[in-house]
This record gives sequence, structure tokens and C-alpha cells, in this order.
Amino acid sequence: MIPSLKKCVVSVSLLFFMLVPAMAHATIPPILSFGGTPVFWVPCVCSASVWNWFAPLYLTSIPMTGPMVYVPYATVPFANFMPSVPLAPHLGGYIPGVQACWIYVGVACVPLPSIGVMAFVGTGLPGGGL
Amino acid sequence: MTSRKKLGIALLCLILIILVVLYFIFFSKKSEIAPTETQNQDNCALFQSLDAKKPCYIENNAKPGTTTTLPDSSITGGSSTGSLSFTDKLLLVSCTSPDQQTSDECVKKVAVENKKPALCSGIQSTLNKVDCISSVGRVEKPTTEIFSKPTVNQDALKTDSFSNNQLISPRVSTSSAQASSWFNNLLEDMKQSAADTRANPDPNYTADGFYQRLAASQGITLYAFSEYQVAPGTTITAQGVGFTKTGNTLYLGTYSISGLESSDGTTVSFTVPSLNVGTYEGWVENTNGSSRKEDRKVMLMITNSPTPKPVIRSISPALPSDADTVTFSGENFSSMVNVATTFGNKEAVSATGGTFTLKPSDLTFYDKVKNAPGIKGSKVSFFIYVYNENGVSGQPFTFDIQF
Repeated sequence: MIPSLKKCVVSVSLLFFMLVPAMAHATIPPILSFGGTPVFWVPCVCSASVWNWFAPLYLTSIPMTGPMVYVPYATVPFANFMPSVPLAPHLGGYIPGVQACWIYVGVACVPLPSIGVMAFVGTGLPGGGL
Repeated sequence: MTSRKKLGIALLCLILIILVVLYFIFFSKKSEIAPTETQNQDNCALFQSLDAKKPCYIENNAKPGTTTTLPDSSITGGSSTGSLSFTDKLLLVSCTSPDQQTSDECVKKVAVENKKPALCSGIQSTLNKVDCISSVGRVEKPTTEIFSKPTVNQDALKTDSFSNNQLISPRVSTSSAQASSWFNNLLEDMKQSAADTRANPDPNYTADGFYQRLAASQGITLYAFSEYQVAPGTTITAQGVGFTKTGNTLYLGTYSISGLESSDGTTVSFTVPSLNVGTYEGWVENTNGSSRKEDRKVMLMITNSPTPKPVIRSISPALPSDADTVTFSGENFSSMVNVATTFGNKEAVSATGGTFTLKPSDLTFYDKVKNAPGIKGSKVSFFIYVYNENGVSGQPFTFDIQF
């Protein structure tokens, strides 16, 4: 009976959490929401930021690929606090069009283009699903 | 009964329990006992007139500024002057009319004038007595003191104000009344919190908050000059972050240009001084510090015959696959170029006749991109900078690669 009770509790708990949505906040423009998994990253040595290439990257429900920039101390991280870690799923808000990654190319720094910069981001664990 | 059926029944029961709990949490109506928010003192007294031992429910969470009337004592009951002091009895000497109504009004008037609710005990009618106590309380008690008043009036528990102890019934709020009031207060707090949030959004979730954090985290940095090779007397721009509106000093080696202004904090314009031909390290200093970095020097070449920066004009094929070798055509490549791309950098790429070739699959991060989930069949944007002794191409050349 105990295993059955456990199943029962788990089932009801799942039902409860599926039916009762958690509190959420809409993003405030110009911040837009994004999600995805970075595959690799490039250090932006001139701007002290990290350029991440996401695959997949969800800006809408249609998956795509592309780069997004994480700026330590400017981007607000949330649990599990693994921004830019490859294969750790990311979910957060970004500001489109802001070029916050500058790399050094011999005689000067140049911007490494990206879709935008993360304003805040929460992560899963590496290998976790979205 | 099989274990599956037992599980089903248990599951059904739990769901029902949860639904009931949720119903009572979110949809239950306020207390059925009495309209606690609307019941005034007279109704309370009327309620108690049927049974003096019944608790009297009174809204006691009136907001400041409203004219809620609460008596100093919540005791309701018959009249008696037996417990009054001799002085108080003297005050009521004039109220000896045989007409009860007239007598009660007189007592009330004396009680209010002397601000003594105890005198109200001389009133016969329960309702009039309550009205008398209420009138005295209205004078004596500002509504701010009533707000969040304790639910049990300890004064009402004393028996020396009235002789008829049987009619003592302290004003209390039941747990249901408290819960209702608490729930309403909670809703009000939530509404107020939402309004405050809209008016003053959390900077963690706003673009302005991000830009402030970004500015604070960057310090002062010089990224590049608008031109790499320049002739003396040419006006160019230094681009970076952390520049102050005034008081920026630009250094070119040992030469300095002070008093430079920056309206946007990211650019300063200056005229290239007449220095000896050569390559100079540049940096900016202001009250935020110095942008000088030993490991990534920003250079400026002063020459009398500057050569334009290299630039890519086109590629072939127009939509290369990931295995293709891409031919880049452009200007000012010289014999060797270096490239910085999305997939990694490569140095010393030979160039001839304004073209050079590059195979994306030879770059550092190609394998990671190729093995990314869902990448097969999709197009990936590819950025490339080219740089050599003539400087860095101003804008990245962008094209798609078909995987």
C-alpha cells in the first residue's frame, strides 16, 4: 500500500503543479524572452563578456541557432548559476541588437556580432533538457 | 479489490480533498455568522438582545480617516446606576424625567459632555445605551486608534462599569472573521504590491537596470580607432566605454591630448598630431582610470600615405555548404591576411589578386557546430573579419553556411 500511496501522492502533486501555474512575470520591453542551449563559447577579452553560440536557440517557438552574449555583473544570473556553460539549458531575457562582445584582433578590438545580450538568465544543469 | 483500483480510489479521494481545500481557499465566502464588515454597534446590540451571551461581531479594521464608531466598552445590557460613584450620580440628578426617552437623552447628553461612558449605564434602553457609549467613544477615540485594534476589549471584561454582570459580553472577533479580514488585507496588499511593481519595476528585469550594471562593470576601455593608418591633421574617433563627458586624456605613446569631451561616453574625437611616422599605442585616461592594457594594445599608425583597411566584398559560392572551400574577394588584402570568424581564428592565410580561400571545416569550433543537436539541414550565420598590416576590416562580412 505504501508504494501505491507514494504513487498517489506523486500523481496528485504532478496534477496540482500542472494545473496551478507558478507565478511568472512578463518581460518588460525592450527585453524579450529566450531559451536554448549553448554549444560553445568565445571569451570577449576586450569587453569582459562571453559570447555563446546557441543550438537550439528559441526566440519564438521555432528553434534556430545563433549567438547571445553574457556579461558578468551586468547579466543577472539565476539558479543553477551556470551561464555560458556548454549544454546547460538557459532561459531568460535578452536585449536585442546590443553588441556587448568585443574581441581582440591584433591591432584593435572589434565587435563579435550577436543577436543580443542577456539581461537575466537562469540555467539548468549541463545535459538537462529545456 | 486490485491494487490498481485501490490506487484509483485513493487518487480520486486525494483529488477531491485538494479540490475542496482549493475551493475553501479561493472561493469560500465570508463568514456566515454576521456581516462583520457592515454590522454596526446598534445591530450588534440588537443581536445580543436575543441572547446577551452571544458574541458581538464588529468590524474593527476600519481604515484611518473613516468614521467608524466604536464604544469604549463593548458591553451591552440593561441599565443600572448602582455601580456609579457619588460624583457621577450627582451628574445624573437632573435626568429624572418619568419619560424614559427623555431621561435617556438627558443621560446621553451628560455622558457625552463629561466624556464618561460609565454614565451611559443610567440609560434604560439597550440601543440607547449603545448609542450613548458610541457617542462618547466617538468623541474620545480617534479612528486611527481603532485601526487594527486588538480583537478583545479587555476593558469590557471588567465588571465595575456595570452592575449587571450577566450581560457582559466582550467584543470579540471569531477566527472566521479574522480569516476573512486577513484574506481581504492580503488581497489589498497584493494589489498594492502589483501597482508598486508597475510603477517601480525591479531593475533586475529592466533594460535601464541592465545598462546601469553594464556601465558599472565595464570601467574604462578603448576598443579601437576609426582608422588604423592616418595622416597627421586627420580628425578621427576613438571608440570605447567609460569615457567621461569632459576631462578625457588620449595618449599616443608619450604624446598626450588632454581635455577631450565625450557626449555619449563611448566616443571621443581628436585631430591626429604631427608626430613622427610610426605605430603608436593609444589609450585613454580619465577619472574612471586608464584603458591601457599590456596584453591587447590598441594601435594607431601615423603615416603620410595611409592605406585603406582591408575589406571583403563578396564570396563564392554564395551559399556554401559546411564542407565547401569558400573564396573571399575584396581589397587591400596584401599577400597575407589573418581572419577572425564565428568558428574561430586563423592567421597567415595567403591572399593573391584580391582573393583568399578558407575552409570553414578547418576552423576551431566547426566540429562543435556540426555536432550540435538539430543542426543538420539548417543554415548557420557566419561572421568574418580580415586584418593585416593595413588594419582591421571595419564591419564583419556575414553570410550563411548550409549544414
